[in-house]
Amino acid sequence: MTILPITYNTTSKSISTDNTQLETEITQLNSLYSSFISLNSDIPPPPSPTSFTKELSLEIKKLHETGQGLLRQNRFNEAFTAFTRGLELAKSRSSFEPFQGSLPEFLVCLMGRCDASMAMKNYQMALQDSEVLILLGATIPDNHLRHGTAQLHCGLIREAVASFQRGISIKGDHPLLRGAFARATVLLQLENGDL
Amino acid sequence: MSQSRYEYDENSETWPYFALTAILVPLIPSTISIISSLFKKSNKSHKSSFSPYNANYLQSFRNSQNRSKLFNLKTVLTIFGWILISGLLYIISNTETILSENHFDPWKILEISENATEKIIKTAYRKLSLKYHPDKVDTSSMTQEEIDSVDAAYVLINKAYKALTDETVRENFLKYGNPDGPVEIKHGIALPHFLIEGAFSPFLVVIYIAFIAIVLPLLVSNWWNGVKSTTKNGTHVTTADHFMKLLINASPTHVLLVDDIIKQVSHSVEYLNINTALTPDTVYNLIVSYINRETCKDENLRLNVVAITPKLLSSFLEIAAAFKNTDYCLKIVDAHRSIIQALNIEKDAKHFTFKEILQLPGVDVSKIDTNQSILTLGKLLKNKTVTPEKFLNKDKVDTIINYSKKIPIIEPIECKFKVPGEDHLPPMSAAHVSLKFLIKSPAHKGKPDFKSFKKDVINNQFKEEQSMDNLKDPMRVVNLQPNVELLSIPPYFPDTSYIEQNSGWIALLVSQRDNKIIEAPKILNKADLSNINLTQDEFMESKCNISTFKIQLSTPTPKEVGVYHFRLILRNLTYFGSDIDIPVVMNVEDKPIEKSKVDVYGIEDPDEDSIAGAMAQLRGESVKRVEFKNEYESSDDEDDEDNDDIVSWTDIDTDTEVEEDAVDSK
Repeated sequence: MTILPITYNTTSKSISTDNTQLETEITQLNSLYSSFISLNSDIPPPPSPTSFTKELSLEIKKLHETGQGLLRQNRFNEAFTAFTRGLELAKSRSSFEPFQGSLPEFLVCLMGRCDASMAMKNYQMALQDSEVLILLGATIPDNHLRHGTAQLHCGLIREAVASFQRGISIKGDHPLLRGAFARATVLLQLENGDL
Repeated sequence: MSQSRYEYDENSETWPYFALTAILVPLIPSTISIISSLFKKSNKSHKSSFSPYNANYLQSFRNSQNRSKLFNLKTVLTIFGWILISGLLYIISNTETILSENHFDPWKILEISENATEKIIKTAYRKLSLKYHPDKVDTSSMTQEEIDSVDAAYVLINKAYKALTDETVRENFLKYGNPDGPVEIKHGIALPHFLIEGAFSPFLVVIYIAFIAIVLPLLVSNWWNGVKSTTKNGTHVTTADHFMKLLINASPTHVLLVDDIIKQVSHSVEYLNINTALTPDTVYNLIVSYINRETCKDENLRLNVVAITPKLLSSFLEIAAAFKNTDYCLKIVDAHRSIIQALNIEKDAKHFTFKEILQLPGVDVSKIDTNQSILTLGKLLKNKTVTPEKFLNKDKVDTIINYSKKIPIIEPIECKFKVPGEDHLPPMSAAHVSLKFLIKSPAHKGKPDFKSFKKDVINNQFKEEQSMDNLKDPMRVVNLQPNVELLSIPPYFPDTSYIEQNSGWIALLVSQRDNKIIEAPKILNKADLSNINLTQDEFMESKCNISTFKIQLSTPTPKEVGVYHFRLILRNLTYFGSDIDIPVVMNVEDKPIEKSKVDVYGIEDPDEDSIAGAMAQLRGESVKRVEFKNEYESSDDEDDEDNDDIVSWTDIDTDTEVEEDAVDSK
């Protein structure tokens, strides 16, 4: 096989390559295969609530609660680690489990982590997390608040105003979003020398 | 062949006219386009006092571009065409038109003027018939030929007289040009005889065959290949295919950079037209070195590469928009302006934060005072913390300030969805986004109060006239506005005519819900730029003009009544810092059409049980109810009453229960 820049491992059923674009796809394929092998069945289970490991959910929930508690005690660093561990757990589920169940778990942990980064004034980290939040949960107005706040602190004022507006379009009477939007608009005017 | 009944164009009477028409049809439009392009060029000459590091190369590039525009095949062919035309006109003016022998002119025969009265006609006829009558002419000393000609002359005189007096003969003359009625129609060939039947006839056949068998198929196949190899906007299909593949594989988690876009566009096959030895890597390196404003060994090659890149980016943008990918589109616009301004906004944090300032000609990155938070053009011109001289660390900043003052900024006044002729948005209607805005200079502070606008500005520019033309074509108002003409031309980009033709804002209509583009991007390139030259006082007193921009939606408004949220993103294609991003709400309402209270014609509603009534009901119109009595009627009524009673009784009952519960819980 010299046509494609890939090599195939017969025992682990994995392939590898030097091409970066191909590599990401191969990693995804390989992770799917490894979780399929660990399932020990002929076909993957159908995406139903029964095939969803609830023990993991409990652990994630626990970690999330710990994180929330730590946030309230202003122990942001520890909260950040708790949320990160929750995220890792949510990610460690078998790829064949229904994502309908795992997506909310992943989202809540990510929201917590984003808030923790924001509280630690690590706005770049918060911006990254909030971008993912927008991709996965664009209909949650709080995500736009997080995204906008992170953008504002990274100096992207115009983009922040647009984010707040997007949040307001989903929930018009969100007081925090409205306040943030008003402040960002004033900042934008200041930046433009209009005030 | 020799027995042919055709007449040939031996005297060159006809063919010059044919040739004249055939040449003039393509010649006139091409001449007009050449002349208009000459005028366009002469109107504008941008001289900027700032000269970039590669000014000499830029100048030679622009000169060669102008030269190639003037002295190309089109101009040569047009000049040759006009020479041919003058030759043909000479031939035509020197050819006497010989009328055929049987051309019949009754007035000439009777030797009178065309507007002679009947009396004059009669006298002339009498005089001539006396002269030529076979009995009156002395034929004794004439030859047979002479006698015949006298006879013929007499017949002709008679004919002419009849043609002018007799009704039927006159009619024949008017209809067919001949008093005898219709004559056989003769066909002619607009070519001289020798070409068809002489020694030259094989030559003509060869030309004919060559045209049908070689030239025509060649032209068609050439055209078809052109159609196949380029897309509608002139991009090579391989390039378009490359862009499509990129977008199909676009990962939403990958954070896109301008650098990625440049890398992706460098694979376009169009670069091979400049130099077949160019690889994507060399192209990428050339573009990056250009936006970093570094010197280059082969400056000419680099300028040629850079000059075609924005055009490729535009077609990339169009494809990205078809994939509804907002992130890609915005990044492509950023790459576009980076190239126009020769500014690598991703080089470092300084370049990114100060991009609006760094785009101004003559501003040096290493010299500006980064401790000052002057990040925008507005701040630089209005509410500066330090003087521009100190901030930019330069002695003379007048040219820079003047340049930045002339960058157009959009100030939105109103943005909403509209349906022509309606005051709300009905479901399933053809709506458009209408943006009313001011173009202002970055030096203008705030925006004028709406009340301070002049009355005719509000009536004509803000509110559109509800004329039939405007209702039929909502885009008419937009198209009547002048083109956006930039007053500050970026100095680094080699192809100034590209900047002039593609100045403006790209407009993307994006859904707030999923951040996807819902309409093909449109360019805002028509607006009134006169506000830029107003002083701050004039601006606030509002001597401004309002401009309009519209995007017609290709899909009708949703079927379901509701509120839908969108965002209108406007990104300037040339400058940084002239973008806007505004929410637009689509409020779809189903207001019933109010029925006119007075029925003009006094027509009653049709009966419910008639055919007209059934049709009216189908259309949703009102009908006259027919009293329908049957034997079950009374029992039905009772049932209804019973049900009513039960309903109202249970209502009361549940209410009291709730109240009692509430009381209990207390």
